[in-house]
Amino acid sequence: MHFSEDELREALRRRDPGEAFTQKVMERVAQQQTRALTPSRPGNRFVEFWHGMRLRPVLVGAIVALLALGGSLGVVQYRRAQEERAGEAAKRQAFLALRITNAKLNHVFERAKNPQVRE
Amino acid sequence: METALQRARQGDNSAFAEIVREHQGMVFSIGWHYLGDAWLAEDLGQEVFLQLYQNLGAIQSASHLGHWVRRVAVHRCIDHSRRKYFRREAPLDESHEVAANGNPGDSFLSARLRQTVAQLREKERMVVILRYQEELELAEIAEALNMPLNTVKSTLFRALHNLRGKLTRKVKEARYAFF
Repeated sequence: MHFSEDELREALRRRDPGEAFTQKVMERVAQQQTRALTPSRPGNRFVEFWHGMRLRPVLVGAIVALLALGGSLGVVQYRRAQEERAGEAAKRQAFLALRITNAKLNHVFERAKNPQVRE
Repeated sequence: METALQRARQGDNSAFAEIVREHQGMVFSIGWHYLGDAWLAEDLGQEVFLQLYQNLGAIQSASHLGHWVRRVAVHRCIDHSRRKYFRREAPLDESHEVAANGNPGDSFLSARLRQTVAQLREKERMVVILRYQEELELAEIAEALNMPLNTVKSTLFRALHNLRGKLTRKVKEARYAFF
């Protein structure tokens, strides 16, 4: 099928979307003006932040993952500290037992060297 | 238009509406012929005029306004198709009729031509639209699309060749289907 340049021009001539289009644009302009004039209340900031966050599932996922990682690291650290404390207590008890044994042995040696001495 | 521009800059909404009325045919038609969807073209057109409203201060004159609006419409179309990997295979959306449709001059050939233009490659489609809808010179198209002049020439030549080929194939297919 052949066509001339004029026929192509005619096919692609401008179409006016009508007054409804103008009205829609002006409504959106009015919305924008209202938004620009409305001062943002400080209480709304958190809500806006939360709405923004909800729209960013990847960011929210990353934050949750970080919190989980931080939490599990905290638990590991706490358990390690508890184990260290228990080890210190066991060491102290072992030293005490050794000291008591040492004292008892000294006493026994003294008695063995001088059997006449009475307590 | 100069006075309307001045009044719009000072916050006169009716003057801005006047500017919209003056350029909406151009913006809507670029979108409609490029995207092949009247609803998308309306959306895109509204975005272009909102952007204009936000940048009224940067517009120096009425002629600058026309250039600016066309350029923004063209680049928004291209961005849209890049984002959506948009490639028209289906015919133009005729369900959303526009005011000028139903004109006696809107022949069968015109409808076929529009549908076939909508199936061209993105770059070819935009060059054809700017050449035959906007009646721009090749140098103006090169400037609007940031393309070398020779590339515009070869793209237009290839687009017209493809348009003829596709149109001929369509007519043949229609004949086979009919008989």
